[in-house]
Amino acid sequence: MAEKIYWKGIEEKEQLEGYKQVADKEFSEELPVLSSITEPISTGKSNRRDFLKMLGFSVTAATIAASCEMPVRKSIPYIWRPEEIAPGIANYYASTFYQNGDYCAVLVKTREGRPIKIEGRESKNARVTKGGTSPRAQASVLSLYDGGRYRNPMRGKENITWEKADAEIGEKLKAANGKVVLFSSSIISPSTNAAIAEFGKSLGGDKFQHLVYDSISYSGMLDANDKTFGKRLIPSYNFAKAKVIVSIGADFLGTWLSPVEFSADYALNRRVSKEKSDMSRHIQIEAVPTMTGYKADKRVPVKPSEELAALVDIYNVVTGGSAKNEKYGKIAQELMGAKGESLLVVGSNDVNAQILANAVNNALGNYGTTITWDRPYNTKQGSDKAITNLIEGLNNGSIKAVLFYESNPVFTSPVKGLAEALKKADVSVSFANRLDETSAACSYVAPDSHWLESWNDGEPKAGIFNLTQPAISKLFDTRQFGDTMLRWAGKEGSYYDYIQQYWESNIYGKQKEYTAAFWAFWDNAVRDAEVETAGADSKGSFNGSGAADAASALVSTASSLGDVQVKFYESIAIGDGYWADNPWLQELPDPVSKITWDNYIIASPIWMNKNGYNIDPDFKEKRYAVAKLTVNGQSVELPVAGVPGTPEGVFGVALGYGREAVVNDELKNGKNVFGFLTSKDGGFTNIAKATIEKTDKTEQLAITQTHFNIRLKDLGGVKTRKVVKETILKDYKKDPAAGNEDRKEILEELVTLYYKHDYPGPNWSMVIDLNTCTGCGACVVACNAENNVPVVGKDQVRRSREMHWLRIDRYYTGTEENPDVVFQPMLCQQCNNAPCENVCPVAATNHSSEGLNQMVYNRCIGTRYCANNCPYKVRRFNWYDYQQADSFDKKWGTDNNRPLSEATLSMHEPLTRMVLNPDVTVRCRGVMEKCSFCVQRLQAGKLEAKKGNRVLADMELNEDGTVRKFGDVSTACQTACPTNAITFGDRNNKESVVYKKFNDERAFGVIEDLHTMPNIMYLTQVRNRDEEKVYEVLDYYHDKV
Amino acid sequence: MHAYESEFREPLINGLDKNYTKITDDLVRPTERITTLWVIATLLTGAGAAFFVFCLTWTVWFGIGTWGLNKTIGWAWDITNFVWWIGIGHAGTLISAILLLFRQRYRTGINRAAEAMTIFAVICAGMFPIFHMGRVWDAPFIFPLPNTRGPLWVNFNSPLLWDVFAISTYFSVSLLFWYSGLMPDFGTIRDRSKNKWRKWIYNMLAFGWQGNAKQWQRFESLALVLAGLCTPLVLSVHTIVSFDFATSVVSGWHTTIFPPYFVAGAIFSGFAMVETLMVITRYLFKLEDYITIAHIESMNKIIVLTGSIVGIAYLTELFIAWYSGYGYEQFAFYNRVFGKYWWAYAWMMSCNVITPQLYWFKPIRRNIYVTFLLSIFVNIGMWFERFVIIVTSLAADNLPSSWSYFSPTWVDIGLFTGSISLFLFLFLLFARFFPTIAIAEVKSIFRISSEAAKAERAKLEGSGTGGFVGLQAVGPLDKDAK
Amino acid sequence: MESNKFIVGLWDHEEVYLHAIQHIRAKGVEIYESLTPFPVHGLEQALGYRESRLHTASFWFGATGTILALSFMTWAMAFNYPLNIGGKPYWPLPSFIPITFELTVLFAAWGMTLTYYVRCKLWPGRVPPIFDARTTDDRFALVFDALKLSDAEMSEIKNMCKHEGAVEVKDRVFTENEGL
Repeated sequence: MAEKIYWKGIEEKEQLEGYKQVADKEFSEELPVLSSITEPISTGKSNRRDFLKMLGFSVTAATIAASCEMPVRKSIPYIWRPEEIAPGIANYYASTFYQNGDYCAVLVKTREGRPIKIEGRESKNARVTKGGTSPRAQASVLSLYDGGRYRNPMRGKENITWEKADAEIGEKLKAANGKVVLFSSSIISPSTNAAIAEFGKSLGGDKFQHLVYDSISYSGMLDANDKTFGKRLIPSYNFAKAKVIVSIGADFLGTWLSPVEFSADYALNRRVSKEKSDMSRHIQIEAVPTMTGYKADKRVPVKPSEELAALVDIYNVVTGGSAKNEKYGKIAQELMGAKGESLLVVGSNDVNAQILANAVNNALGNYGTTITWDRPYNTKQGSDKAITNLIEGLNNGSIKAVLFYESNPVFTSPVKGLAEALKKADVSVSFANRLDETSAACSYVAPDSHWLESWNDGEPKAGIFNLTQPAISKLFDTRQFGDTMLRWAGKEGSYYDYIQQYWESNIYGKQKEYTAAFWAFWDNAVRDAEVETAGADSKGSFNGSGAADAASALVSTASSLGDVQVKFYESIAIGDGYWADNPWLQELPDPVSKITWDNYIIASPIWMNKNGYNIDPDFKEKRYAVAKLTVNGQSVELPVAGVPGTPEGVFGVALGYGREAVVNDELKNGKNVFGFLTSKDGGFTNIAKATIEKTDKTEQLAITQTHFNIRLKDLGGVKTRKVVKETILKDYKKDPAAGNEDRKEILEELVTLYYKHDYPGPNWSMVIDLNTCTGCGACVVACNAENNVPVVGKDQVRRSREMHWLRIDRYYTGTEENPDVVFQPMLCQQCNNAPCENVCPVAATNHSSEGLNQMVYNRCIGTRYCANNCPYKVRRFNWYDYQQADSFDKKWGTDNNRPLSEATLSMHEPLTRMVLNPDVTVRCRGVMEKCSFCVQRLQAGKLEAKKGNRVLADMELNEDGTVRKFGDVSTACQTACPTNAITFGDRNNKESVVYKKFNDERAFGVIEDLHTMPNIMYLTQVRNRDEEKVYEVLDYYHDKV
Repeated sequence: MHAYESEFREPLINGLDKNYTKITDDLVRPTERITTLWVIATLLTGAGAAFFVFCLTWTVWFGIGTWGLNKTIGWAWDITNFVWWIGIGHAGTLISAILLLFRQRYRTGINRAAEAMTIFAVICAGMFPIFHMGRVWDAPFIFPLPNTRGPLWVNFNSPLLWDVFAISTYFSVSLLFWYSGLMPDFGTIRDRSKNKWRKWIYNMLAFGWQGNAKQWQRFESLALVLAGLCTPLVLSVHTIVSFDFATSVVSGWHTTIFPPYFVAGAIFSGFAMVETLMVITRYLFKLEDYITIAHIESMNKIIVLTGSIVGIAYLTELFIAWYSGYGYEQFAFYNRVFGKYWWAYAWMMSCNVITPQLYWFKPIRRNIYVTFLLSIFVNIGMWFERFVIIVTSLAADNLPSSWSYFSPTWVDIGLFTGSISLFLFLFLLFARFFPTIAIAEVKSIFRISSEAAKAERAKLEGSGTGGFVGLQAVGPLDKDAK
Repeated sequence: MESNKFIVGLWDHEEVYLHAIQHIRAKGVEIYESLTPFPVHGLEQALGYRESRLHTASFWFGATGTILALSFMTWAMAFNYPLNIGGKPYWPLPSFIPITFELTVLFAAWGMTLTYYVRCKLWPGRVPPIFDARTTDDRFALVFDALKLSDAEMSEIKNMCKHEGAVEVKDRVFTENEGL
């Protein structure tokens, strides 16, 4: 007889019957991956997975609500729990981050179906980026919940359905009596390219044209390679193999070409130890200081024109000639001293410069060793001609329809007039997933899905295939670009199937690993998100015929630049402006200038003194004099900030600021200087002849680390303060404790009457290698994401109220003309004798049995005494209700959020709050907060080990010192670091990596002589130089008044 | 039986017409009539006090962010004001307690007002540590109350917690001292007044004081023991306040000289404030006969003494900083003198160390106008002393990377000026309704050091009757007097 | 008070007043009450009162405070909820000293003052018998219980007062529930 069903209510009855119907099917629900790309929440047709997403959201809502004094709300348990989701347990999906040339192999951490954090992929599955991440990759999860995202297709300002959009656009494209152009940045996805081709074919004939333009252009390099090697490609640069690295204006650790990969490789030869005490030699010749230059063993500050001259000199010397300037002759000698093991990289976008660079590397025999053709980059394919072609085409009517994908030329184009030209087109479509200048100017917006919602593949370097898989169902009625292309090409089936077919026919065959069946291969591919196949043809014969002309061309270029020169550079955080609407990145202090939320003119402090600029702006207002910078005719007014190491008469301005089409005014800070890139034989060059004049205006800059003038070096000196310690390689080889000799006596002086507490369990400890830290800031953004660190906005940062738990301190030593620099990540030192704990009247901060300095938010009454007494100044106070975690204002419906900045308020949006990590309390107004060593991750890791009934697994290293696998516990900053500069673990485990490093001769604690007994040690900075001395007194200097 | 006092010693009660009734009349009169000047002053200060409350509300409503503080400087004007007020609060108890133990007769003229000042100053002081909390609504957490968190008790290691106990003890004990002293005088007012209600109210306040021998006997022994308790208490309170800084690791705070130096500073500023108020009161309520130049001069003597002690403390600090050979410490003090806040240090030095030295000269010591001016200078200087210690030390501490600068917002300024208004407001109310001078105590020294008594004695001696009338007759009592 | 009929003698000079007390007590006359506007030195000796024991009381109150403070802090920090605070030991005695001292003073002061109010019968709203309003102004009064006295005895006392320099002697009869 039929089984009776008892039910309590209608809904349940239906569910139960529904269950009965599917009960005998093998899969009671369709495969989640498919559903997740078919039905978005916003269509209202929500299936159970979508229900889970919603549930996840409500759970977060409850978590947020449960913070501070909010009442705890109950969330509904699952009725049938899908096997892959357990509330409170994070799921990790291997995926791939790619945007306009930035590539990163990542893991996406999801909680209850919400992506909340980006991690680096395990290094064996991250052959390019080696498990590291960049600030942008870390912050990209916030863009998923960006308030500016398009919710559905649009015609002008009007919302329309996809059916409508497809119909209208489709017919307009057919009708267009002119070219249909797809304008995009470099696309690394083979399937996307295939889909585009299908679409092009469907238009018939040669109606379709695909223009590729990189806003941060490498076209000079591509063209140079085309000329010299006959391939318009960029070869692999292997910094790991290079013993001598000379970079001419290339910020290869920060922004140049493939910074995450290069940082990892670079770090290999910078990581010194007793066993391996060899170090690469890094020489940087550059105009505007970059973090790469600040890391160099020898930094040669020169004018942009001199960069070119230096290149020519080096070229002459390595090709048997002689140098005009002996300085560069010497550098060339050093290169020749390491033939086949050296590397010359040039940042310039000038074809001739790149031709010479190739010639030099060729003469040094670096091709095949440090530069290889087997795995060229697909991340940069653009040509500078594309933008001019587009505008001309639109103006002369040969182009009638234009589609913009992953590209915002209206903002980034150096050539004016695109917005106007667009009006001439019959139809213009943008696939932008959120508001930008181009989509605002287009007649249609067909919003692409965010990469975290999309299926995609990618081939960053030839033969290294990656998969991007969705980690959340679509939040809005968007459709990913591939699907749109197929739909418009009149193809059936989803882009997901299309990718699969592509891989089955094109990639499956090439690899050897999984040959059983395609599905086995595919499943593993999805799990690892990376497959390696044979690379490209590794042969490349150099044709140096053009070199001589190139050299003379460069000389004339150099001479034409005059003596006031400006260089426009890419900011590590904002990039080409795509990230300007990301508050995390806006608030990330620039590694070099430590300024947030703005762009400005970088200038030489000495020049500023001479020309009556105030280098030492008053600390409360932080007012900087504004100057008018003029480059052939057009001019811009920006505040001038002094940066030591900038040559006199050289000025730098960051690209990407001054966005117009963004959700709130705070994101519009700065000025757009793309228009200043000057066109030069078909390419755009970022250096130019300029004039500068002081205005009587001033502007406030939100700088997080102001310069102070310490007149008595020995008193104020950082060396005296034992904050950072450094030595030179020669001394280090003699004595591993070089530069750290004073530690012995410091430790002897630390006597106490009290007994020491013992830490029976683990004793969490961290070691940070100053030598491999590049100051990039990936750890800072990772920390913000992991720990729900609030965004406070420009005004609050200016008032020195930034909330970052982890900051990167920057110290100068030596002269203002050419200083040495140390980057020091500074976070809570988890002191075992913590000064902060003693003074808290309510015991809200105290010490755990695992050596953690714990902060109990609910107990904190906010006296700020702990922050005053913290020698490291790492405690952060919630001056306002930054997180909207305060029950106070809601209760009475007051407007006491008024003091908050727009950026902070935008983080309060329910959509944006989905990014919050439910494991971490959001802190309410009036409580103190600080780094917790990611205690939530420690607890989770301990639980894992406990479930497995085993001891805590420590991190595993490869022979070369890189990380093979992180242990059960790892902090967010540690996993984010592209150079593995941060080591974390249990010091009580004598076998652990952290134990060994903690007791290394190079290890020292910051201001240890206060007897704080920090649980974080730093490893001394070692500089690879023999003659140059390390300055005795490390310290700040500034205005010599 | 009275200790003999030479007529060459300057009297503490002027006026040949004085007698007990006259004293009563003079001292009670202010409570019986109301002057326009008083009304104006009260309204003005009342408005100021209201603004104080407004600023507090503003702070609680929007958050501590409305102050000028930042990640490096977690305390500035708030705690500066707190320490400043507490310091001022010290003079009252000191005058009544220590001067009582030392049998200084001139205390009788000023102790009542001084004690009142203590109470009000401590009220103002208390506001700041309470409202500087980020979550003032959770303030009860600082008391060791049983709770459901374990129970989790407070951290008895924290100087801030010591403060809680020190300040509350100091406040309540001063209150007892002050009020017990007030009761006999309330009795006097009650018995003078004709109005039934006035009688009733003041009897309420007087706790039904009668003035019989037993009450007076216990009264005196109470006064004596409370004085004995208050003396160490008053010293301990500012010592503990100084621990807030001395026990920390911040260079410029972590200084073992702080306890004595803070106490000296407290007495210094306290006496200055008493002078400021006294000069005003004696003018407002015509009390020149009772608060005489002699009183002022003796206070000025204490000011020059404590001022010099403070000065020596400053110099010692500098010397030790140099002598320690300890980089942070040396820099902290170098920065204090020549750093961004040099001007604050200059104010402190000139107002606390230099100007008080003028009091070495008798004519200046006895000049009422100069005294008034300098007394205000001293308090300016003492405010800057606390500002210099707190802010300059924090602004440039161990890690140069996070050095910063503090500048106040209108809320900071409003709270400071507001607290001064509140203080004056309370004092004016007190002066209007309570006897500003301890009537009974003044009477008790009338026979010894009043101009009238001295004149009478002189007359008797002149007439050869030899000293006090009837002294021989009460011979047997002489031993008790010794 | 049980009696309602009194003789009140008023003096205007404390020395004469003390003198008078001596002589009157020497004559064996019982003084019911003596009222003065301020504490007259030697008065209690003259009246033969024994020394007050308030200070002894305050010592014990103080001792209670000390013990209470020390024992509570020890219990809370070292036994009830031991926390590692700044690497200090669980029983940081030096940190206890300030609070212990403050509580000692607090208890001593409050205990003593309250005792004083109780022993002196002082509390808000108490209506005292006012023999003569001027005793809180400028008069020093001696009060004799006249309830059981014969007229002869009464006139004798009055004369005695006059002889001892009283500026005024009068009868004071309290009527039923007489207020202030």
